[in-house]
Amino acid sequence: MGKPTDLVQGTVDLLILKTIALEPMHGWAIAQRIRQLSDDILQVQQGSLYPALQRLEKQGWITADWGASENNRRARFYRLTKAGQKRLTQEEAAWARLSGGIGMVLRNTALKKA
Amino acid sequence: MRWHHRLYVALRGLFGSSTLARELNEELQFHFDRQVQANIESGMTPERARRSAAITIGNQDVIREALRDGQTGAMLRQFGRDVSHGVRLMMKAPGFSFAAIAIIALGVGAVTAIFSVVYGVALKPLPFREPDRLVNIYSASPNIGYARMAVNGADHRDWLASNHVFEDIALYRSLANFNLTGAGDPERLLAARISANLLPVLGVSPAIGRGFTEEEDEIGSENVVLLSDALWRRRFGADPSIVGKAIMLSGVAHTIVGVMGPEFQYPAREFQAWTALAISPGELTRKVRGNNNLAVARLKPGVTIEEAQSEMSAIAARIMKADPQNVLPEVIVVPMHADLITNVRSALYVMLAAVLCLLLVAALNLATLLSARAASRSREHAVRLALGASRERVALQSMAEVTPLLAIGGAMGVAIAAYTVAAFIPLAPPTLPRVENIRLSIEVLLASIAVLSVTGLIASVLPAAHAWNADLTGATREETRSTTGSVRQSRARSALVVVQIALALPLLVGGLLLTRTFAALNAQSPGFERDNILTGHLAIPRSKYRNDAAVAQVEERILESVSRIPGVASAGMVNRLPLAGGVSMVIFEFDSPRALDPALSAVDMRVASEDYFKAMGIPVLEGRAFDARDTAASTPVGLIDERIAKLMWPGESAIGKRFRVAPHLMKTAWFEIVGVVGHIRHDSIDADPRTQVYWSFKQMPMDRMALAVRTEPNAAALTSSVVRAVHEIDPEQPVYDMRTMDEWVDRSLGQRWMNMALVGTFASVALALSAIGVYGVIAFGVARQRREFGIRLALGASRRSIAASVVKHGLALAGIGIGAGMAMSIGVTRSMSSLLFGVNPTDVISLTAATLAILFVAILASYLPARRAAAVDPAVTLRAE
Repeated sequence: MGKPTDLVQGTVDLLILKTIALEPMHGWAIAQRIRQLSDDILQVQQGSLYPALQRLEKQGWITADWGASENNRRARFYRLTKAGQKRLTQEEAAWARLSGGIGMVLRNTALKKA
Repeated sequence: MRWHHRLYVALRGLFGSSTLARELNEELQFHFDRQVQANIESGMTPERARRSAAITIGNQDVIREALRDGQTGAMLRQFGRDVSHGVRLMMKAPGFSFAAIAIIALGVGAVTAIFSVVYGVALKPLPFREPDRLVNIYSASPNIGYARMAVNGADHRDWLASNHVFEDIALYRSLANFNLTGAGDPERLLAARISANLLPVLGVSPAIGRGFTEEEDEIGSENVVLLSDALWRRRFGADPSIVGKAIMLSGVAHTIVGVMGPEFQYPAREFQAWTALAISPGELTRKVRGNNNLAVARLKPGVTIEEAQSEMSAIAARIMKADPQNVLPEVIVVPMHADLITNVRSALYVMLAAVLCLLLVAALNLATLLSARAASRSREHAVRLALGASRERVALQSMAEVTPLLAIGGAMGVAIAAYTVAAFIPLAPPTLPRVENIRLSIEVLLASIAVLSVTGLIASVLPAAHAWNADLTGATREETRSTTGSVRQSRARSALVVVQIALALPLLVGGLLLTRTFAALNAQSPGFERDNILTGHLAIPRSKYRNDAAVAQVEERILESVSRIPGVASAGMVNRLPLAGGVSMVIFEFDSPRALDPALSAVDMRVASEDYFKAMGIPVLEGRAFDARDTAASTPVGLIDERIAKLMWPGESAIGKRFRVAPHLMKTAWFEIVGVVGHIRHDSIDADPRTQVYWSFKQMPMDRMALAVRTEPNAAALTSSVVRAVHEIDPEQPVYDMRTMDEWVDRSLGQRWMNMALVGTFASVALALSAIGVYGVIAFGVARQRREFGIRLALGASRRSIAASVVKHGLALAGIGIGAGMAMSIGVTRSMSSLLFGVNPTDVISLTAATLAILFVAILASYLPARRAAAVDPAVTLRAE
């Protein structure tokens, strides 16, 4: 379902869904977590993070509530909905297939070269 | 699960937009602060921490913008902003807005009002179970003028026994007048006698109590009654325990077995009670011939009307073979709903077509207005397009700007319709069925919203199409001093006006044809003098006046009593008043070597008193009217009308000749003709199917009679005196349906009057709108051509020729419109030929008058701008550059 998403956008969506699958998180923490987990390789800028969150919320895959943050401020916490969980599973499988495919192409090309 | 979430998000986007903006700010602020805190924690000074955070995060305004556009409902919010821009535009040009709103209100109001009539009468399903399966069945003999006649009890019994297409066939008699006496004033009740299976056939049951049983269909146990909801509330205070109580109907006690619900108005809304139908044994054995019952049947599921018709025709042929004396050899099966509205259907659809035509004129007129406004803003649109606004965006904006006008105009239109419908119902012509269903129902309101949307679309898309196709370089460069303006735009506006005129013409022609029809009907003499006659109806109860002599005697005494009233010139009685709706006809045999044309063999059978002809102003052409010589004991005499005299005894006197009822119907004596009277139109002024024969009320007394009282001017003023005079003879005798003869004539023309008034009004409005359209286009053109006129004047053109060229432009528009409208008119008016009387659908006078009216209006509408054009001062206009 939904419109075709380009690779980058789809990737950010997947990362967000995966990140908040464990526990509800606010925007800053999501960006921070993605950075930490990827050893600073992946950095989601505020300019793509919040539009992505808005898009996912509109799709009904995540939902947000106001809550208290770790530094005791009011913050908006995002969590997965049921539909979001399903979506995450699909996206993960799709990603695995995609990256597997790309990996195979790269490996096979490397073999031929050698 | 998902849709309500989306709805919530959308609604929040739409209505909670300020909260949303605040939350967005808060969230982004939190993100920033949290980054600053993280930076400090990693050892930066607060100031560096802030700067670093600002650098990593970037411009928050850009993000905010992107998020706002991404919110659901952003487009709707934009539309909302355009609408409020439209409201400001509306306030800025109150004159323009007033005109636009008035046009919308007029169009929507007229369509809504007419549609509520059409829907209530013609489209709303009947209030019965599966009404599509209900049919009316008639006996008929089309070649002797009996197109749809009531049904004989014996025929009904045969149909029931041999048909396979109906679940059941019920009978009723719609004319059963009762004098309700007892608590309160004596009152005449219009009731119907119904067979026990009528309610099951219709699929309804009483609100309280029960319907009739099979046993109550039998003579001797038929004194039971069902009350209407209205009668139960009005006369019996909605007594919930009324079942089982007795009321006196025409002097006979009837037991109330039930009360019907308020929606049960059968066969029409005037009916207040139902009694059991008991068919006399004579009728059932075909000894007494009479066709008095109306038949209604329910088709078996899946059976079509055609199948039912062919089976009933076969049955009728069998009955005819077994009983060759049967006068009505055919049977006709008609869907109940179609049958109910058969007389008004074409009028209703003509009205609907006329009002839709008017609406189209109004919508185009509005488009002309808006397009003139759009023209003055074409540069603005072009600039916006050049700056990158999408064409959709500009077109959508045009629509949004019209929305406030539509909303106000539409609301006013519905208010106008509500008022008009409320005012119309009491004035509805008596021939219009199902008036009780006419109201602004949900269906009607939905239709008017649809109409409003279409109007708005026509009126806003046409001008917006300009923006769509705008030639950017041309429009941005075009300057106000350009002499010709945008040729394409003014052509488009001219086309709109031409179409308006083309639509107004058939409306005008239709209105004129209906007006001429009405005039022709009014000029048509009904055969009597309609002025200064007061009429009323009497139903003399046989339970009180047990034989013919007693009935005749009380009628004579009533006539004497009424004649004594000061101001009464003469008073007469007849069994069926002309134009009052009742029909009673018989086939006669005339003692003449000539045979009456079968088409004329059904003759109005009248029973009249001596002074009836004097009171009605029906001339006695030969011989005498009835007088004191004619008594129950004397020779049976009769009068015939001039037509029969001419047909049967051409070139000789009919006096002294004889007639009797066709012997296969009834054995009667020969009646001697003592006079020939003027022919009258009994059914309606526009139809004249039958001739008349009169019997004396003393020799053939009838208990249902109508009084006709010739009075001094202002006949209606004597109403209470006449009632008093009747009550002097019998205080329990009601007089009902009292009206002047003038009123009966007007009522019989009510539908015609309404046709004329409505189409005439629509036509006048369409004409006025077209005039405004012509004026608008010409005036706009003149304003743009001032400089050209200035130059022409400076070069020596006369002011006259300038004015003439402007008027010529107006006439050219009208001419093209008339050309296009004429072809349409001829097509349209042919389809309304059934509504016309005494005038041809292609009536030259109407066509010419309509054409002249449009030309005249076009000249008038272009004359004012023409004068302005001629008054241009070349010095001023040229220097103004």
